[in-house]
Amino acid sequence: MNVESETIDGALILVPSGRVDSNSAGDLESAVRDALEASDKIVLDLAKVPYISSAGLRVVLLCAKELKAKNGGFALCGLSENVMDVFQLSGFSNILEIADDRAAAISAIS
Amino acid sequence: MIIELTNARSSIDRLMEGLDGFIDENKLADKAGHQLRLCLDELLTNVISYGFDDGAEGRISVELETDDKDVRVVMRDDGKPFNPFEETAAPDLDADVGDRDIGGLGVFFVTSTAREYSYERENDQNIVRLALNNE
Repeated sequence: MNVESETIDGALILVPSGRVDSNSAGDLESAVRDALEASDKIVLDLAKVPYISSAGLRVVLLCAKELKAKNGGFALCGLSENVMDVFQLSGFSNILEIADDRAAAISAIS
Repeated sequence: MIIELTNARSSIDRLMEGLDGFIDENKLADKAGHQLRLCLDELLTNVISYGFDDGAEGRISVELETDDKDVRVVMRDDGKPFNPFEETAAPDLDADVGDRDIGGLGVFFVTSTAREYSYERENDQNIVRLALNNE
């Protein structure tokens, strides 16, 4: 899968495109690991992700754990209804910062 | 519709393509389509990862049917006996970020989205049946 990144107000924004299933989660993991090397403030914008499985959530959790250990910031935005359902089922919506849009995500970790 | 697969990693892509066709053809409700992808992605990933000894070639089939009310799935594999619904520990949904572990989440998604689920071992095959609401 393709993952774009840009930096806004000191936060690195990661924008993956496509489904994150157990096959493509590896691509997201590589992009997240690169981002963790580059920044301790990361926003994962899932607006172009129509689907995520537990393999994708594993990568999200990995990112959250690394940033927490570094006292960094991590927020998500752009979750569709179906993707939000998966975050709610897993309980991740209670332990992660999920913002309505990108601007809110950036300000949540600034 | 029957999707025939092997235990190769690339089977996930073939499963997803097959499901796209089934979901389109039968005009499944958006939520039902999403739940179907999620359940089968998780179950197939488990079978590919743990169902067969290294180097062994496995066969997996996914049979799908639907009407206005239900989506029914029968997934068969000729791997080692494994009941995913009994032998997977439930995830700790209340743990915070530092303590949270990802184990068990895939099967938990299946048991919490499918309306009915069952397992049986018959003729050296694992057989998992699911029923999802078509809504």
